Amino acid sequence: MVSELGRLSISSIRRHKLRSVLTTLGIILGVGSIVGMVSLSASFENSFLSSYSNSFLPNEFAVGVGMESLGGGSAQYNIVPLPVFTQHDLNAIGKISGISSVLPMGQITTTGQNAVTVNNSTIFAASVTGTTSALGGFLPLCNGTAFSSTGQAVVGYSVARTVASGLHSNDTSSALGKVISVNFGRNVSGSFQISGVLADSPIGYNDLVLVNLSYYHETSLLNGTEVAAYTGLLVLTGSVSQLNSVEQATVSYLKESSQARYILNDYSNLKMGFITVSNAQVVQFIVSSVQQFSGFIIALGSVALLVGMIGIANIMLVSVSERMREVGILRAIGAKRSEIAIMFLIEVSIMGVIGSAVGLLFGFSLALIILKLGIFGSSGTPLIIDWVWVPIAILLGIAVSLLSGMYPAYKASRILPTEALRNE
Amino acid sequence: MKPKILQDGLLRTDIRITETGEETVETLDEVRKVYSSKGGSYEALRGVSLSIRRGGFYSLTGPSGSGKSTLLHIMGMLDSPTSGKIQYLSRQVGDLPDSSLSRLRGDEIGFVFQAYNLVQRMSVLRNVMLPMSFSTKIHAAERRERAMDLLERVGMLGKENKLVLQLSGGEQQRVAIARALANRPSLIFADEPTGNLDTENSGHVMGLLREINEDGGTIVVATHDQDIARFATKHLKLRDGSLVGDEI
Ligand SMILES: Nc1ncnc2c1ncn2[C@@H]1O[C@H](COP(=O)(O)OP(=O)(O)OP(=O)(O)O)[C@@H](O)[C@H]1O
Ligand SMILES: [Mg+2]
Repeated sequence: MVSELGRLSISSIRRHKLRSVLTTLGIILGVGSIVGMVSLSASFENSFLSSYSNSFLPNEFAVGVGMESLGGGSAQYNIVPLPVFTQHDLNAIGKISGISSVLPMGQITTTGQNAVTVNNSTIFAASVTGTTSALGGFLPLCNGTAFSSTGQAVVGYSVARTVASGLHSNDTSSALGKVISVNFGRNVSGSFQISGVLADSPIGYNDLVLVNLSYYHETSLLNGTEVAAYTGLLVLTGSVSQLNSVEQATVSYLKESSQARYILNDYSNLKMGFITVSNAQVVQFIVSSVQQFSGFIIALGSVALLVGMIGIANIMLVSVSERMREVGILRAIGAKRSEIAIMFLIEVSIMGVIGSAVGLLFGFSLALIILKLGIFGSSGTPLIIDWVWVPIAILLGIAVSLLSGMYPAYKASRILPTEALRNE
Repeated sequence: MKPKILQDGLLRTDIRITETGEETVETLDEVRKVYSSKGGSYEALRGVSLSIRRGGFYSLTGPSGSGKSTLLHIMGMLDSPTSGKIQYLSRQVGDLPDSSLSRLRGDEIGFVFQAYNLVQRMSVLRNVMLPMSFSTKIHAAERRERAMDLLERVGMLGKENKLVLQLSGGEQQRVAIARALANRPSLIFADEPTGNLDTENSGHVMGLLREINEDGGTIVVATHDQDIARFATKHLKLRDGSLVGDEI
């Protein structure tokens, strides 16, 4: 019986090809955008986490001054390089329980467009920072080593690519040994031989030029006395699990007992405060931005599904009224009301299955195209297909189509055979 | 449509077919059918009582609008009466839920319509097999063979794979007869089966029905054509929703 009803359903679908395609369009678009975006987001996350897993330390956080209110990963981009952290504070923070080491970071104000050059061509966006040769313990290198003399520098991944011959080169090792010039302003400049390259980093270190701390000269006033002060600190904790409590302890120290708190007071501008940003936070922020975006698209997809459902219901109602006579015939030769309903439900769920299958293909292709085109800076990101979505999408398609086919099927089952068979 | 005044007791005629010795397949008792719509209500059947005997070949005649189709649909359990009782063998049809009624209809009743009413987009063979798929009477493995036998019987062998739309009216009606026989029904109701056919095809169709009757089939043919009615051996005559006689 069911096979015969299925045969009738299939032949009806095939007879009204255009209509069937229109019926499934909502499901195709809905399922497609949902599946596509979930795959895209999973691909981003996967490639992001795997390609950067060696480029930052999970037990690390940065200390700086910034807008406290912004919080979270966005704070990374709101750190203001104010010279507030004294050597005294650095030593004190180093003694906080759970902290294993602290690296001073002094962002050097360079002037002019041509602040950093290689062979007289500018390396845009490069930011020069003084630190110690202990940097290797905080910032993983992909080539070479930390500087061992004042004539050497460690550069970020993007800087290294520019030096090595341009943006399309991933071979950063050829940047080693090359010489870059830094214009410190006031006619002071220096040449640095690249000794190491920082691993490609998602968290804002790709444009760094790290030189010996002796090039950093910023000072601040502490109770009327001029003291040397760093613009930021990198802190390593003993373990990842201590991260949160140690960050809190560091901020408490800075707010309550540090010299930095007096210095910051003098910079009485805005609502600046001490902030810490862990690497994990930044990564989480980036991942969640992608997730938010895909959440938005998924919401759109759900709307498409909903609209699709209304479309399916409408088209099925038309189909039901067109097939009154057929329903009458089937009832006359013994079909039950429920069997008439089943026939239409089979029809609509076949379209649901086809729609979601096409939607799956459409979604995966969409994700692949976005990755291939490099939209969102994603070129080269491999597509991650989570096969769990295949059955989910098919079930979703069936559920959605059954739901929207229910009322038309009920209507069909209520058709009076005598009315349907009345001579035309 | 001319208004019909209900003069209860005057126009109502009660005819019971009471030849003895023959099994009664279906009995109608005081069956009324009132069609109600916004424009008012209309009583299409005004207390019809009759019995259908196994092996009978009945004609149901009467002028247009007298209620032939309505009566046929009610006897065929395709429609329910507004009041009155219908008994099929030992069962009270009015007590049955839709699902049982549909099964009973599929198993025990074959319909032949004026407009053939085949499923246009299916093949001839599929159409004949269709009633069997709603029934358990014919075993799945035997359905195709039975359908082919029936097609042979109505002279349609060789055309089983044609689509219905490729057939002439006469051919379609022969397929419809084969379909009506699919589940070995006890009763066959034909509503103006020759209404759309020429004389030759009409003769062929009525000849088939007569053969079926001679093989033991019970048939009721509604027609307003007296020549067609003459194929039958028993006659029911309707006027204004009431049985008025047993002549053509
Ligand atoms: N669904 C309906 N609603 C209202 N009135 C109806 C309906 N079906 C039939 N009628 C009326 O009931 C009466 C009997 O109709 P029926 O079709 O049974 O007549 P008939 O004898 O078969 O006529 P014909 O020879 O033209 O086929 C007619 O007056 C018809 O208009
Ligand atoms: Mg009629």
